[in-house]
Amino acid sequence: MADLTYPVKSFVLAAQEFWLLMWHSAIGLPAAVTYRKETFRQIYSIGVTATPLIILAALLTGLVLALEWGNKLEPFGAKILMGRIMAVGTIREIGPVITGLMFAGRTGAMIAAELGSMKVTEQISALTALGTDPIRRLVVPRQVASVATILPLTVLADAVAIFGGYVVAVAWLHTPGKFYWKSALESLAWEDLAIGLLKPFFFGWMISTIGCFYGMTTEGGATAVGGSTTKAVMYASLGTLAADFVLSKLILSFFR
Amino acid sequence: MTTEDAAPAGTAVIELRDVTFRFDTRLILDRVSMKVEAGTTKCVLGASGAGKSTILKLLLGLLEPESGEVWVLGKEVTSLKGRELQELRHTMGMVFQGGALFDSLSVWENIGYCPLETHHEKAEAVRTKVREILKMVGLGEVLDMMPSELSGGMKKRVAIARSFVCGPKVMLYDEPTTGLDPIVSDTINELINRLKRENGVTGIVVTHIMRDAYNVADTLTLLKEGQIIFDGTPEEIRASKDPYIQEFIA
Repeated sequence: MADLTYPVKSFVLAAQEFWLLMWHSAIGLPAAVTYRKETFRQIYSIGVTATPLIILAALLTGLVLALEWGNKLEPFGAKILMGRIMAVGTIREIGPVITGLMFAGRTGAMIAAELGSMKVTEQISALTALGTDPIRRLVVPRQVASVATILPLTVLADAVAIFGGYVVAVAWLHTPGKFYWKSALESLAWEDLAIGLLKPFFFGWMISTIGCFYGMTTEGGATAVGGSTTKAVMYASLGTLAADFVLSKLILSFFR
Repeated sequence: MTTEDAAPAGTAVIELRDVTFRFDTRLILDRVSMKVEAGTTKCVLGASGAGKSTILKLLLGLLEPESGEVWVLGKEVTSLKGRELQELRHTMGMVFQGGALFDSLSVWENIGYCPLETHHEKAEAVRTKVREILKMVGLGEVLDMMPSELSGGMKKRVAIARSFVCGPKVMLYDEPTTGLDPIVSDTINELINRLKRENGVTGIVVTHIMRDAYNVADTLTLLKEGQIIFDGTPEEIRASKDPYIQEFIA
């Protein structure tokens, strides 16, 4: 019986710890200002250095999507809709999700590995022993940096993916460039921008919190750090996709 | 801090009363009671997994006992929360087994962590203070080096420097000399004795190296399977006829 209840107990304990982490980090939010040096260091590490990856991922996705959609639209003479499809699809879905997934893979792993290593080498205990709250010192700056950087990265990803679509539309599908941009700009509504710009805030907060949770709860040695990192990436990626669906549904119901 | 700030000699600065601690279902400490008097150093001895390091973590409030009381400087640690616990921790210094230096900070930022973060002292003043402390622990110009560039012995000395920079009344050392050669070990032992002698610091040293224990201890406690099987002076442990004790100190 004990073996059967163990996974349930572990899950309940982990859920409790996760909620406590969220609560303590929420009430410790002003620590992002107290530890502003750390917050800015994280903004650079999490956001600025992720820029090339996000650009490349968004460009490749934009190119592929434009190629696929263009080939499907061409037989119907609907290539002129390329700009519209690329703009709406990218801003509402592709941009936030691609950025979210890249963020989950890169930032989620980075945070979990960094905090996990600190945990197993007792650096987090040392912080506590020196009278510092590790959640305020380590978690809050990472959460704030993630939320602050994911929005500009998403906007950048949107722009690059739409530009990728433009390249394909003009170079391979021979659509006039001005039609592409006209169609793209005219199709966008406030609703699209609201959906596309609200999601990243939640993704950034969720991914960083999952990374921090797995990092801070690492027990053991190097293998455990690897395990925590894997779990952080896995749950942050799945969480991004699940949250994308839930948020889309919520925002759509708000606009209708 | 001077010796005048320390508690009067003979007063118990650290006390464990009937402390029981479990990790999951495994019993680590079984109704352990011990005292450390002001200005003295106690060595906690025992084989690996005997619960030595657990005692230090209980004293810092990093772990909570299943039952019993943990007293440090007249305060019951398990009853303290939040700011009160943080304030108590500011009066204590802990040297972790591997040093636990913050690897994203340089040596001077590590040592200066407490004055910079807790006392909000000016960076230049802290750098000067750190330079003096580095001389005291026998390290030269390592101020701007990163922890990854230091040897094991240097890391331990930096860790000791970091833990006493804010003048703690209690110092906790977790295996301070493990993995170090005898010469570096002697330097660290001398540092522990100097802190006691010059600053009146009360200390607990967790170790399994008898040579180091004899060098620094005023009293010794030997743990076996979560229970105290000896508590006394170095002379008394040497005179013990208990076969386990004899084997352990041999």
